[in-house]
Amino acid sequence: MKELSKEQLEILSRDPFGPSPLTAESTGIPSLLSGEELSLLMWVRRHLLEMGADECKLSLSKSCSDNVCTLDGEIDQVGHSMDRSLQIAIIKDSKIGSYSTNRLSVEALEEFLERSLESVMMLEGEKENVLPDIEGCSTDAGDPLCMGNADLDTYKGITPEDRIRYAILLSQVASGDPALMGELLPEGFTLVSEEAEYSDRIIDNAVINSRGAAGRRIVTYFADSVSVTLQDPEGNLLSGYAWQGNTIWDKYKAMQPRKDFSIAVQRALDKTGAAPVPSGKYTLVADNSCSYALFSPIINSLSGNALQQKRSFLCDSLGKKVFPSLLTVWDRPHTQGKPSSTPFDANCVKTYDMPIIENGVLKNYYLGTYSSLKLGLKPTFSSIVRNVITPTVSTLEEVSLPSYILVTDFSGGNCNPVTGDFSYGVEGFKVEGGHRTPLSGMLITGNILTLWGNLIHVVDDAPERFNDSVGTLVFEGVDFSGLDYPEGDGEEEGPYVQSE
Amino acid sequence: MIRDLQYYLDTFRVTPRLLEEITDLGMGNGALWCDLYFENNASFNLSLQDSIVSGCRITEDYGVGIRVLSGEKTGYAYSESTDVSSMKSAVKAASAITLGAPVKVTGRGIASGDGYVPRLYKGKPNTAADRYPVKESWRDISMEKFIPMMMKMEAMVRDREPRTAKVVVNLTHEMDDILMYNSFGELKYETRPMGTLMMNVVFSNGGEPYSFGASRSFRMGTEMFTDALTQELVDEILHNIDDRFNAIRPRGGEMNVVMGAGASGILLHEAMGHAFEADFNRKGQSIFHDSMGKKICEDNITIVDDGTLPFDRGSLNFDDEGVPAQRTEMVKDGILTSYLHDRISARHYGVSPTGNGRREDFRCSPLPRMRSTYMENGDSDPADIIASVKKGIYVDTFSNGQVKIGEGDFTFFVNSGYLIEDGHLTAPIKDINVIGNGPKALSDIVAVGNDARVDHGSWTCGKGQSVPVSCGIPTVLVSSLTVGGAQ
Repeated sequence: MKELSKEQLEILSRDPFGPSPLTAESTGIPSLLSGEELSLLMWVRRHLLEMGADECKLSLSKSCSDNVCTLDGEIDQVGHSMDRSLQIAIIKDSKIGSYSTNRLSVEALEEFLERSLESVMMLEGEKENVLPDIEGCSTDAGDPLCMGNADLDTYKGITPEDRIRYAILLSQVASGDPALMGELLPEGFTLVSEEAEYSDRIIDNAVINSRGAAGRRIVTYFADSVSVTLQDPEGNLLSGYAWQGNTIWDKYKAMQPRKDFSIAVQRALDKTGAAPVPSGKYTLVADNSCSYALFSPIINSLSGNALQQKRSFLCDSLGKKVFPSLLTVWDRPHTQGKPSSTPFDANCVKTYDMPIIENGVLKNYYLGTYSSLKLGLKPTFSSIVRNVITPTVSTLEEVSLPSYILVTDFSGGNCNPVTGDFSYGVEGFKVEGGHRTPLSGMLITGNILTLWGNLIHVVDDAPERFNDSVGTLVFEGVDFSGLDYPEGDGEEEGPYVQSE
Repeated sequence: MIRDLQYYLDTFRVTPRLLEEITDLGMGNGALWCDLYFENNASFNLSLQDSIVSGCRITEDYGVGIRVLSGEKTGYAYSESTDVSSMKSAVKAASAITLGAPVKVTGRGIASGDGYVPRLYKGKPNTAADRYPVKESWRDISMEKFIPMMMKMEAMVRDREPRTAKVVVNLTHEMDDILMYNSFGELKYETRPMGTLMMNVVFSNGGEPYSFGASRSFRMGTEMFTDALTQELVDEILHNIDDRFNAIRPRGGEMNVVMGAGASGILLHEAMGHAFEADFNRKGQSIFHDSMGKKICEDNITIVDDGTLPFDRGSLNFDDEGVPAQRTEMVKDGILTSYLHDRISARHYGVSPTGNGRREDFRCSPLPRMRSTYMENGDSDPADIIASVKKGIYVDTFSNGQVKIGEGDFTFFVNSGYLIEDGHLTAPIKDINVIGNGPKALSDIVAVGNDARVDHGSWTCGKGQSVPVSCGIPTVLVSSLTVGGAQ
């Protein structure tokens, strides 16, 4: 056993969870961490240091989720799960290894920690393998409810019978107004299947490290979904889906989950007769239900690991204007109602409102300690928490668009992380003079930086149910592939063209 | 890999009597079925980047999933502890499905009064029939042994290709102890090995960078790593590298698409395989729900989902419901002959389960899932297929795909390929999505090559749960798919 330094002993003597922490025992909610589990976390930290680790970081999560699903109005599935997971990072001689186990008896942990420490030694060390400076870290884990995203009283009061009732209430087949079906379904259309699900969960996460950093957060989440399959008069199947979710029960109920069925049916009906339209350059309006898909490649390219490994199309772009002036994006990690909100990141570094893109200028990457040291840049926090794109117009109606393609869903595709070249399947509508023609079986293709360079509007209509806040986006001059050109059209360019 | 029963009983700290007791509890409220799925998974990952092996990850995952069925209704709960009180608590939660409305028996019942097909072979698992015996277990060696191999792989790439900028090599192995017991008294046990080697390289010629990855994955022990395997992976990474730097996007639109042998099996997986999974069909949600016994494509097409290929990533000795894995012909000579069944859908249709009941881990209830999905050989020469195309594309490497079950619309993303002009492969192409509709694409397959092979990349299928699969196909010509591209 290694003798610990005076400084280490002082850190180990502190109880970061406070004199009377919120626990399973104090609340009567068994899915919260217990006093014994919090003590175990601190024992593991001490044990690793005594075994010879130079530094360590530990994250203990406990979660419980319940769900009830209906199929065509009858209970089809009931699920209950309770998970615990201990994540460990061990640093020794500038070498680092990552470990995870759900076997949390002292006997099993002793064997696991010994094996883990042994495995670190086979690696090459790097001087960048250090814990973050304690000055930037959370050191107080005494208020796990500080983000206001845990509705413990409501969660505690929900019984298994309540869950069944909630699921049944979501089902139009089981408990809807019989007249509504007739109102929703046009003549000749039939409902093939209806699946509804109510679910709730609670997550309790505590993080500590050997430098004295500590944080804890508890989140509840209440959610539902309804999916339908319809058959049209020609026998074609059409599917639609709707969901709602929030960390706070009253906010969840305010989303009116009982309307999900109607929304799902409408989305299915919207696909009636959908077919490709002629290929060409169109204005793309990405509906707020799916617009984030076009932003996520940018976020992926801002991660420290992607940048350091040159798997990013935004390398060496910090401080540069790589987007249009109208684009401003912030990370706002302290928002009520959003399950990802957190006062600290995975390394216990304090989070804060951070500009990502301001008036088109790239202001910050997501850099943990290792990446920041490797790249010689100031650390921020290690990954996205909650992105907010600043709207530029209140409604889509404000914008005069004589003709465009409204994309309501993406189907498959990818974006090359190194070059930004993308190609995605799309469905939605071609809109001309207010007339909507449903389309499917089409693709958009291009380069993500070029696409965002053609951004002309961000609408202030981000749905409440999403974690991130991204409204409807409007881009000019996007390449859509669908029906072939009429004979002769475009032939002068030859059958194939070079990408940009 | 199949060890003796006592190893599994000791690992999970249970006895046959206790297994019986817990299942009896699950059946107590009038359930028709109860099964237990014990899992002890240990995985290890070693990674090379920046020319050193500097990262490792060890993961342990242990627990038991308990399922109670009432007709086609499922109650599911799990416990991360296998002590008696935890299992009793879980079985009580799963039994909630038996509360409320009486069971609606829709199954026609081919083997028992309740419709579930009982044991399909008697006795203990047969080690002689093991599809993935292990010569050297991952658990018996130090991973340090593989560090030189990983370093050598990077050196091989850098030696051959001076434009190499960044190399990442990942080696992952997994040993998964499984013990299953059900209310028919069937007891199955085995250890599922998996080794995966992945390499991803960023090349730069001073202009636009280019990245390419390749992988191999098998249900094998440490013996999977041979010089031949690492050479094969490096060769694939560097194959036609000059072409890749010069790759273009085709002009988008509908066109002939020739799908190269092997990895193009993603077409079958997305366009047909998911739609043949019986859960979607029993709910009427699949575009093929009323096509059983009907002709859905040309006579020369036979599509198989196979769990019996030795050492294949998608293979199983038996599925996660204890049903022996088998070779299932989904389409035989152009006729749809079988869906992919778990026990629930088999009961619904009154047929034998096909060994496709799979789950990600003990936290998940099993669903009908694919294993190794491939098309059998046709009689065309692949060169003749390419020569028959006046204008189109040839595709051979892919990254991902997706399908909408109801509408049958599928997509897959092409990493690389070539234009076909007047019967010849011409300009290299890259990074395009291809979209089509399952039944139409199947009927649009107008030529099938004689070069069928299964791809051994690290394919993983997602359907709410991730499971390892593989796919394969001979060279085929699809007369019309929509290809993404510039306009």
